[in-house]
Amino acid sequence: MELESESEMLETYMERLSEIQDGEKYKQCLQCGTCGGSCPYGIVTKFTPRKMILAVRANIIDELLESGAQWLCTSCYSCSFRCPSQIPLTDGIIPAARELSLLEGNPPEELARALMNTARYGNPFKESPKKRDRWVKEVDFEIKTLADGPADVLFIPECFGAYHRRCKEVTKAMAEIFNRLGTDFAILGRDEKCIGDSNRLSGEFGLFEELVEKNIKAMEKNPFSRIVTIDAHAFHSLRSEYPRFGFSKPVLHHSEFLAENLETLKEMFSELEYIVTYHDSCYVGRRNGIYDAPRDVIRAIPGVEFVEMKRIKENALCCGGGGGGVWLDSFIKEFMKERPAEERVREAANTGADILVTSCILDIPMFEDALKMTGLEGQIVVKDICELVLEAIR
Amino acid sequence: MDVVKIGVYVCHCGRNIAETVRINDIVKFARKLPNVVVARDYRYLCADPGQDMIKKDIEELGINRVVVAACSPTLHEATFRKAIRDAGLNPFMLYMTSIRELDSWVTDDVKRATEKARDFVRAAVNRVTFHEELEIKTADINPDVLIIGGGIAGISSALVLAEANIRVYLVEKEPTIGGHMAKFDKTFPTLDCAACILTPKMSAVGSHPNITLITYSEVIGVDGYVGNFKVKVLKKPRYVREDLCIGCPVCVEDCLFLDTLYPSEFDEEIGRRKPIYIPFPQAVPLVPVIDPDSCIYFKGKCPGFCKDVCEWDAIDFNQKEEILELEVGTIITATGYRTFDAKKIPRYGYGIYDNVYTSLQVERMLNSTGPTGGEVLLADGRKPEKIAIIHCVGSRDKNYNEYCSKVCCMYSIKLAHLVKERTGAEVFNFYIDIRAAGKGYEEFYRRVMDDEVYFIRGKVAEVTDLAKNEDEEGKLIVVAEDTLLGRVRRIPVDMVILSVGLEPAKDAEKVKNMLKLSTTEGGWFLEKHIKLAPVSTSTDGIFIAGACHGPKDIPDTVAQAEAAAGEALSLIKKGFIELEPNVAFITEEKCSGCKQCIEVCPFSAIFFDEEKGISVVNAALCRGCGTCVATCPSGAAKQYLFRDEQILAEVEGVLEE
Amino acid sequence: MKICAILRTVPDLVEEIEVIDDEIEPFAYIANERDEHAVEEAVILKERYGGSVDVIGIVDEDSEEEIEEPLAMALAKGADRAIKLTMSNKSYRRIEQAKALAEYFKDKDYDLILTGIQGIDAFTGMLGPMLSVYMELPFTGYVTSVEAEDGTVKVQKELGGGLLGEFRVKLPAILGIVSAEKPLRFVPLAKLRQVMKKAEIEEDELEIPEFEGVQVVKYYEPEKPEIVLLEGEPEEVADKLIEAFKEIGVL
Repeated sequence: MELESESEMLETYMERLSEIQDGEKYKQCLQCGTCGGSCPYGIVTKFTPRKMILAVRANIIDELLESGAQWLCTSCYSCSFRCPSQIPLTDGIIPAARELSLLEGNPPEELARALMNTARYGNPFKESPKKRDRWVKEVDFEIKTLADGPADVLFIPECFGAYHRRCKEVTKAMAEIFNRLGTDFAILGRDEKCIGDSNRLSGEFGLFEELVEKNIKAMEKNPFSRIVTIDAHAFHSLRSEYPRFGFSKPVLHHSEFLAENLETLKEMFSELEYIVTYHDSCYVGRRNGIYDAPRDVIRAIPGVEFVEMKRIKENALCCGGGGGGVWLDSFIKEFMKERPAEERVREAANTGADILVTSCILDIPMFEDALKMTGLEGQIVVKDICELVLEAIR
Repeated sequence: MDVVKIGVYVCHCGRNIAETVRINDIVKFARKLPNVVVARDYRYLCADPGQDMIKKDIEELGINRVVVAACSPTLHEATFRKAIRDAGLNPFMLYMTSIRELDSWVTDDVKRATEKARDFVRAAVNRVTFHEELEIKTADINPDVLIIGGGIAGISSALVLAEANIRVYLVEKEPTIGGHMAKFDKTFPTLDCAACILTPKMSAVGSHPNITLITYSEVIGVDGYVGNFKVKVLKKPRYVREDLCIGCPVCVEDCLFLDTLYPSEFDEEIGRRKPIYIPFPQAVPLVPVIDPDSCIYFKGKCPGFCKDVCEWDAIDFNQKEEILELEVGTIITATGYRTFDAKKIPRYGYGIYDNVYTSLQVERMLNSTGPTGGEVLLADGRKPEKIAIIHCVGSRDKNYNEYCSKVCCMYSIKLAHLVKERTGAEVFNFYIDIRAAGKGYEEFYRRVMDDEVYFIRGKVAEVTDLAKNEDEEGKLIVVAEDTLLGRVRRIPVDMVILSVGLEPAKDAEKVKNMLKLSTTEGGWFLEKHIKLAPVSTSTDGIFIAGACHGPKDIPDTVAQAEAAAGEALSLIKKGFIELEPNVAFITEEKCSGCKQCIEVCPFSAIFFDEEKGISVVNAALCRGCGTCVATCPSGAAKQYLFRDEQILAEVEGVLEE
Repeated sequence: MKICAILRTVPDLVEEIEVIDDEIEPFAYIANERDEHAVEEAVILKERYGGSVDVIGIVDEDSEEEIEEPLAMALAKGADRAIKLTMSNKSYRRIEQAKALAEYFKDKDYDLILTGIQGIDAFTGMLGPMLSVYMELPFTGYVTSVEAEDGTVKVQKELGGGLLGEFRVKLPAILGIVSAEKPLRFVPLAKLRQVMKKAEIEEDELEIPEFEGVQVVKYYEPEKPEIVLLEGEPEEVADKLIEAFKEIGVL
């Protein structure tokens, strides 16, 4: 049941673009190439976003799909952020092309597995949905689920935070901070499904919509006033994509929550003697413009010396994990020797920092792997911002 | 009132109207309307035979009201008013109804378009029945002209007017006239030295008996109307008396500060100046200025060496701000532009890396009177071996300014030529499109290509010092997709020049509000008509010249400046203006003196007569917007040509079944 | 080529199967992965040589298993017909199934019947060979690719010790697929849902005689081994280890 012809492909592609906000702005492309130069994979790809638009205009989408260029995107939003025509490249041009690959049935294997697992189990790891709340047993206080009663804050750990061995530490740290602050919080527990942002950006729009519906349904079980999440991708999706489906609660990234409670936290802080640098994750920074909250939190910890990397804020380099990138590692490895994460940890290490603070859950596995690859392990440690805060209030 | 005799004239406008509206139908319909004596149609009523037909009817049939059903009155109301006046009728006994813009152009439905045209004609006939004879009043034009801004635009306008024996007040906010052009080294495409062609004009302005030069000053208030503007100018203290100073630099030389310590505004902050300084050697007026923020006399830490050394006693630390009041008949705004702040795009490294400069800074470097004496140097004093010029910085970009700044392509090509000439460096121009449309521009572009300047088609993504290999160590790496090659390239260079775009001057918004001008989206002053009235504005008697109207190169600026002078001259030569009679007026006996009309009037055209306790409309200022009429709670405010009975008759005509 | 692929469901092991009082708690079913490869190979062969693909989904009338979604998935991937075959007394011994299926296939004239090499439930790998016996057709298993050559197919199969072999099999034949030539093709969820909505799944039934040769005694999870961490200096640990070895009698 593959798409029969070029024109059918083009039609499907255009239909998708018309459904994406500003999707049809691609018509205003100046062919300036800002996107290509800004792309972490621009140097190796056969079709930069600019050329993808040309391929669409020339109706040679099949050539584009064969090149695999549509998978060389970490959804870092650099191209979209800088595009002088404000074309939604990351949200439109690329996932719409990816969708065609999915319809053709041949996405990169690793990603396909993650998508199929998510469709079946609600997480990409092929883990049992029953184990989604197992981390709760690893903390020494009670955590309620929304199904049991209302709460002020609904805490979303998302898949990595719920299942990934290292990322679970972040989840637990955040839960402990809630506990110490006396926040009235609950989780969705086993009702939580993958929030789905990477599915959307991988072109699996149908799956994304199904996940949205399930999650919204789970959130309706009891009232809560707002969401706090440690996952930058979930944060973005809940804040910017879910409202299209009728969801309307305020959504905070945990760095915003920490900044909001900074005065209380300050009273609890004890000195930490670290040199700290901060990596602006694409979704917290570039995509949502949150630059100050995490910096304010770090700077407020007594004893901490804060140093900046060269590429910061809207110009920070991506870790490579977004938009399904974390499932495309072996695919991308065929194109590029050095991963963006490796380049980034070198940059972080050059600041002389002991700790690389992150605010996106994917950064942790991406950067920890990169530290191993670059031999920088031991020289600099990766910590989520809430782990640093927890250390300061312990 | 005489017997009302109405003539109705329906225009085909070629096929514009006739294709959609059944003209015969309308004519027959009109003939049956009350008071209509004659109804006719014609292919083009605006053409002479059409006008003659109306004139003939006035003369022969004695009609005393005319309805023209044709295009919009903005196009031809004046034409038909003139025609009926020529035939001896008061020009305001006309009513034009638009059956083109409001009818035939907006539908293909012949039946409904015809019905609509009938309604319009019936309404017009109803309305014109109540029209009255109105008198056109005139006002004298004060022949003096105010020019705001002393760049090349203001200078050019001033000289044209002054040569025609017109008194010109030229107000400049900087200590010297000359504007941006004075900062340039050479100009494209001929590579004339900017100073060589500009400074003679500057001195001509300085010495012309008809020009009153008011520098270091700002216009802070404009009242009045065309022909009779009252202007307030704030003169900032320069602490050096222009009437006494002869421009010898002794005071500057003998300043307590022996070194130049403060960033020079004129040198775009790459050069330095003392607290007392002359912006550049050919400044006009050639009078120093003291910056009270950096001069330590004001902090009591210097006895005033400059004052002591001045033989002409020109230093005056007691100078205060001064407000001058001028009366002029016309105003030319030539407030120019400022360059885009490159710090808004941190990925290009301006303000982060030492060797990233703006184009204007490089102009100063290239200038022999500039801070480097004409040498193009890196921050550490070395000569650059590779230079990148990035076009479209802040232009053609919806994140900053969507418009094209028009001059950057050409000045970038010029800079490429000049820096190559001075340093022998390899030069890379990164562009999206080269826009070389102008006399001799394309030829100049090709000439510079022959210099072996490289042109790479691609907007630069970023400038970084993060080296990926040995060749990149210690360099600035320019990352861009070479879109013609289809490959991302990293080009290591020593110096980056940012071709910053143009934005309206910082205080353009203030000037706009003061002069009641309109602006386009980017904040540029809006002309009255983009093609046919390019230097006039929506405010009569106020003209625009140069880059305040939109990015412009020097030839276009001068052309526009001289055009603006011409428009002003035309008014001055005529000596008076005709005032539209469709103004508001207050019925004395009905006015309760509540002053609400004064509050709502957007043109400050209503004042309060304290003695009588009523509002009075200044007919010369009133633009006939009707706001006061609608606001007045007692029905005292009325408007000629828009009287209640006229409007109600029209409304009834439209609604009648 | 007229091809048939057999699709069975098996317990989804991701959803941990719990045993309480010797009985298995209710669990979810999932398509048997090897059978999905058989479907994939069938679709590949159809695309290459033309013909048709029928997918037979087998379910037990008494169990909770759902075959509709896996069958819709097969249709979404390119199968032409999907047939749900409900069996009474579906045994974990494939012999009964095989007998009944052989009967079912009798008049169907398939050139190729593909089945996954084994199901993870019964773990016998015998469906193919037994079909071969009852249908008197050639069979070969552990197949990883198939090529048609006038009236025969040339198959590649995995042999022990990392060896590969090529065999020519006369058609009609039965093949046990270990994996398809290419990775399983991906089906976006929206497409699957669309197919499920309008798919026509044919239904058929097979009567299987009760069989009592083998009966379940109990299900249980193996006891978890006791793990003791030996701590201390290397010498100490070594001593403790020797002690422990002596205790269990290996030293």
